[in-house]
Amino acid sequence: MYNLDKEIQDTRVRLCLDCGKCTVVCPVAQFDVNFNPRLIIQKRLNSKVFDIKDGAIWSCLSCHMCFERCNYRVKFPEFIIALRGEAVQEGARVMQSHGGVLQAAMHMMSRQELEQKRIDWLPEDIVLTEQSDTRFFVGCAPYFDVVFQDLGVNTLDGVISALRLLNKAQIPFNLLANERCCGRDLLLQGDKKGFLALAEANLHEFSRHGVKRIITYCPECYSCLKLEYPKALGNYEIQVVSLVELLAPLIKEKKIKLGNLTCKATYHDPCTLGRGARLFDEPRQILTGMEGLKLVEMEYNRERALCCGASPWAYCSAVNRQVQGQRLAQAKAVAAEILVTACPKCQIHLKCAQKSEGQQDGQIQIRDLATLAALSLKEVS
Amino acid sequence: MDASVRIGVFICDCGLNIAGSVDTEAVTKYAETLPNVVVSVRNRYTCSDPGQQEVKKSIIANNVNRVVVASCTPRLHESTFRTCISEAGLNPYLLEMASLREHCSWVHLHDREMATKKAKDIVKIAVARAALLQPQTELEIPVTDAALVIGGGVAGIQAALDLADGGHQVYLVEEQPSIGGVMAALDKTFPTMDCSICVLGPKMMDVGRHPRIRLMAYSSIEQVSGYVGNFKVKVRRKARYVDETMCTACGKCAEACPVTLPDEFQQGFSTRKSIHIAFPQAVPSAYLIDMQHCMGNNPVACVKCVEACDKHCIDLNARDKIVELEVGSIIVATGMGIYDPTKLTEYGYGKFENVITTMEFERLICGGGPTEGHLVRPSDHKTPKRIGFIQCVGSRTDNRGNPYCSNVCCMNTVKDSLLILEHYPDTEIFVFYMDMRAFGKGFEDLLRRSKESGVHYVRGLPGEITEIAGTQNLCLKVENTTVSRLEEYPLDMVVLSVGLEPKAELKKLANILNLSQTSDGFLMEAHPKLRPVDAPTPGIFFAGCVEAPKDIKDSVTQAGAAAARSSILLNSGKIKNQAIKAQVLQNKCISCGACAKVCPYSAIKVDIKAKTGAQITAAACAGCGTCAAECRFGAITMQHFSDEQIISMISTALSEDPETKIISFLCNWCSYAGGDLAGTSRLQYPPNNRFIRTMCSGRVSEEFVMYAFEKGAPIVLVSGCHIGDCHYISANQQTKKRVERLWERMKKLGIRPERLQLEWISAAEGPRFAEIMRGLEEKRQKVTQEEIDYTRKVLAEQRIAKKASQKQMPE
Repeated sequence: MYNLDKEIQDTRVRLCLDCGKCTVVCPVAQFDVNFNPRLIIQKRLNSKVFDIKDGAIWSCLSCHMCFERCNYRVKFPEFIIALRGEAVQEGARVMQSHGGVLQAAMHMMSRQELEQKRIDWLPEDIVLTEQSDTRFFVGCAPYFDVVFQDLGVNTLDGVISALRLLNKAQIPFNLLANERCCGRDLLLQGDKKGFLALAEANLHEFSRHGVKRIITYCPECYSCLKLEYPKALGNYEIQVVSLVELLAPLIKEKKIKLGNLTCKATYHDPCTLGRGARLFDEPRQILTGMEGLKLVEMEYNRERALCCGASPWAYCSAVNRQVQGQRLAQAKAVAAEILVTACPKCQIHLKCAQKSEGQQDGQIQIRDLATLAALSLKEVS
Repeated sequence: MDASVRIGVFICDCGLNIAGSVDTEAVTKYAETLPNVVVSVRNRYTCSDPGQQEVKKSIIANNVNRVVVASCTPRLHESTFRTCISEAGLNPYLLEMASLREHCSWVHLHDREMATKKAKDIVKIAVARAALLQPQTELEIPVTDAALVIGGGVAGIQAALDLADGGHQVYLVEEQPSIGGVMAALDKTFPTMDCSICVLGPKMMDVGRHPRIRLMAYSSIEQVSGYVGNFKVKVRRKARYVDETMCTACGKCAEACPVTLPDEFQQGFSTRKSIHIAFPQAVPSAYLIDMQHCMGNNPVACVKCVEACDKHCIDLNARDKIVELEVGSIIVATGMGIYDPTKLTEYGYGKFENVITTMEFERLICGGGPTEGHLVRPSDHKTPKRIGFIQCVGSRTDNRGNPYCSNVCCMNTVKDSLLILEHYPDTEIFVFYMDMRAFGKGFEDLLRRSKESGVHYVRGLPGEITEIAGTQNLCLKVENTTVSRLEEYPLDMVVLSVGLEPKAELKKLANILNLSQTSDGFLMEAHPKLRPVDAPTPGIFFAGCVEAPKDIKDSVTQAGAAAARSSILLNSGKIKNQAIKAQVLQNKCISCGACAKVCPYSAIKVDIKAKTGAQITAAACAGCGTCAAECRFGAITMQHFSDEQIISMISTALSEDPETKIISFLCNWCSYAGGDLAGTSRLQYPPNNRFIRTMCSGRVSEEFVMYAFEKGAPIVLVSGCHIGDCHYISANQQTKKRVERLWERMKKLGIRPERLQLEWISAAEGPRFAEIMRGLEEKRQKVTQEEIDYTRKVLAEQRIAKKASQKQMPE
């Protein structure tokens, strides 16, 4: 499954200058002395001491901060994924968080002949355009709200808000009743086989319904459908756009008007949307489209944004907790009332961190971007 | 077969370079069978002394009167063999070289059969051309005994002095108000720890008073025309508003001036006035007014300097002047730019006051600097006790910066560390590096001294610098890769060891002089090993950092080399121009003027009314051949790249199995050179290409291309220099137009226009050349036999119909 020689070439790890800049900016390396991206490369390529069962390779958050700063743009996160794949091939057992319930759901969804009932949550006022060849890809939000009920996350609200915004912008779309998980999490934990099964199942659905364009709100689905699917599936002609890409220009050109939201907010760039897709301005344009909203920036923002500490439902430890704590502290430092994010995983992980800090007064509110935007619309109409 | 033509073919093994992948014995035997060949000899190293002796012996013994040397690229040894055959009594232009190496053996390493087949073809094509070669006489043109040196840094100064001391008139043009360049702004130099301005100053003075050097400071090059030995240069002498010859640099004007500005020479750490002198040791030693910031202009609001000047040498109404010069050679020594690290937000340059660059450090520690050599840090002027140096800032990176190594930064930091300890022995110094490059004479010694003196060398490049509010001290985060640990260093000051880069304005000068830049942006030399200071354009030479980052020693060495090579030219008094010239056949010329319109050198005059025929100034003709290709009446012939020769090469190339061959027209200066580079880099591509070298892509006429299709070529490539980079200034613009016309013609005739490809390939684009060759083969495989048959039929019919009114094509 994994051709490590090809991965070494594609990821350019041989060009590593051994300078260590990646280690300095890596959020995991800050807290975990056993995790050192530079050293992992050197050990695997140029020494005899590499052990594929070395647990360190599971700590990477795929936040891409190393890639952002690397002189030769070595694709370290992709290299780690290849090492994970190699480990799984050699029989390593992947730790699965939350009892493996999400992986179980993913594997179930990868069966081609599955028929799901997955859009029962759809409110009546949302308008679907049946003939549209554009589909909104929902992602795993409905599952998250069930599994993480105790955290009070409502990622599905974000999805519904996204649909409301699309309606408001008069962008026609339909939903896929038999949508599968995009598979990114399985890819990230070295389960390429599982990922391909999901991808093929999804492609089957897309072809079956003549889908030409996909809009999605979840940055991970966006990255997966836009970048990973063409690589894995070859013949893939579907255009993939992010909700924020569609809405921001409309708001900037005043084609749709958001309502009021008086507060002091700070925006957390999700790694996949920011550093990954380079969509830094669009979410901010949506936020500042709301009257009364004062946007302040955290110390580490945009290209330097600090990861929310999410993992692909695999390894999750005290280190993730420390990274999350640092992010929440940065939000506190700018005295924002609301920490806005545009990714369900960021929402889940930051709320989980908040919960473990214990309920305190003055804890920042963590809100979803689309939810806020749609809420402000209610104020107007 | 013309019995008077006797061709000698010399096949070279080139050791294993050719013989390793081509069966040179088979090629030699094959050559014997070709028409007009009287002798075919195989040689191990033809360019060597014994090899050349054998060639000469063979010529004489067999009464050879045309020579084909099938070896390496003509761009390497054409002149070697021209000299060789002329020593055997033959006119040097009776030589044809066939490249069996760069364009065959090196690029088809793994297919001996196909490589040998191609080699045979290459020899066959060369033999066909050789049969039609004619002796030529080279035009002798006088050389103006004067040199222009552009740039007055240490390299330009050295070149100017060497040339002037050698007896030649030199014009030194420097854009800054004073010569001296970057070296004048340094404190000490490595590895000797000499005071920079102390060693440079005397040289600057020598330039200033040398009887044979005319120094034009505060001037820029406006225009250059002409050719080797005969350049005409327009120089803009910018208005100083102060008479250089009378100013005594007393400084009273500056005292009186009310306008205060940051002093660029002191890196903005101190101020100067609007009227100022660049630095105390400036040559010429004269003040000048920074008119953009002067209050004495329109309306006249302030004349304080004029009033203060005892010698009355300030003129607020001065204007720029244009001066015209005639020179025989040009040396480009315009130096380097310095990387601006503001984009590296992680280091805080521009935000944190105590993060500075190496140039700023030089001024702070220099006795002539803003603090008279007391090393203080910018925020509070206190002496820093802990200083960090970060290496490779803006170098060795694809991520905000330049990919190359800047050569001098490692040693510069080593020198800086010793400088600091000399003055402040208690300072803790940390150098953060990836590699310490101490490659030169005395360098390793200096590095040892630095280490022995207690400077800490930490292997790792910092990822982030933060500033501590209040103290404005810095905290530097780095992975110490030697021990694989993240470490934090509290520091008082951080010096960014920034890299060198080409000046932003270099492109403008390169365009004026018709010079190519490499992918790094520095100027491209004629050959990186054998002609390191020559520009590809004859008569132009390089010295110093304009060619690549280097230290003072190497700059001075190059300057001496450039001066020597320039001297060769100037001493000769006259040079022989290559005998590749356009000639008008007056009996066919109808004075339409089309040729004059396309000549990039304006070397053709046509009186359309008087109909006296086109007149070509041979000395100005560079031999691009664009006029010949443009003439629709066959009235211009190119000496030594005639229509007959090229047609013969095309038909020979396609005489057997034409459907398997791709005909590629490559221009000598760029695309053919790109092919050479692909060869030296051993990049592999399919062996279906047959190359026809012309001096310029402008030589390739529409007729050549159609003829190739008529003879059965599935794909034809026309290639040349990138637009804007044409060696013959703008001839490739004509190529572009011609190919566009051809595409229209092909469409009308029902021939797929994709079968004619147009690519611009520079001499530095070896990998791209190979990629294009692979692409061409893919395209060729999609051309059907029906298409080729149809094309041949249609074009043959067309030609017969047009034979009466067009050029006569030899069959």
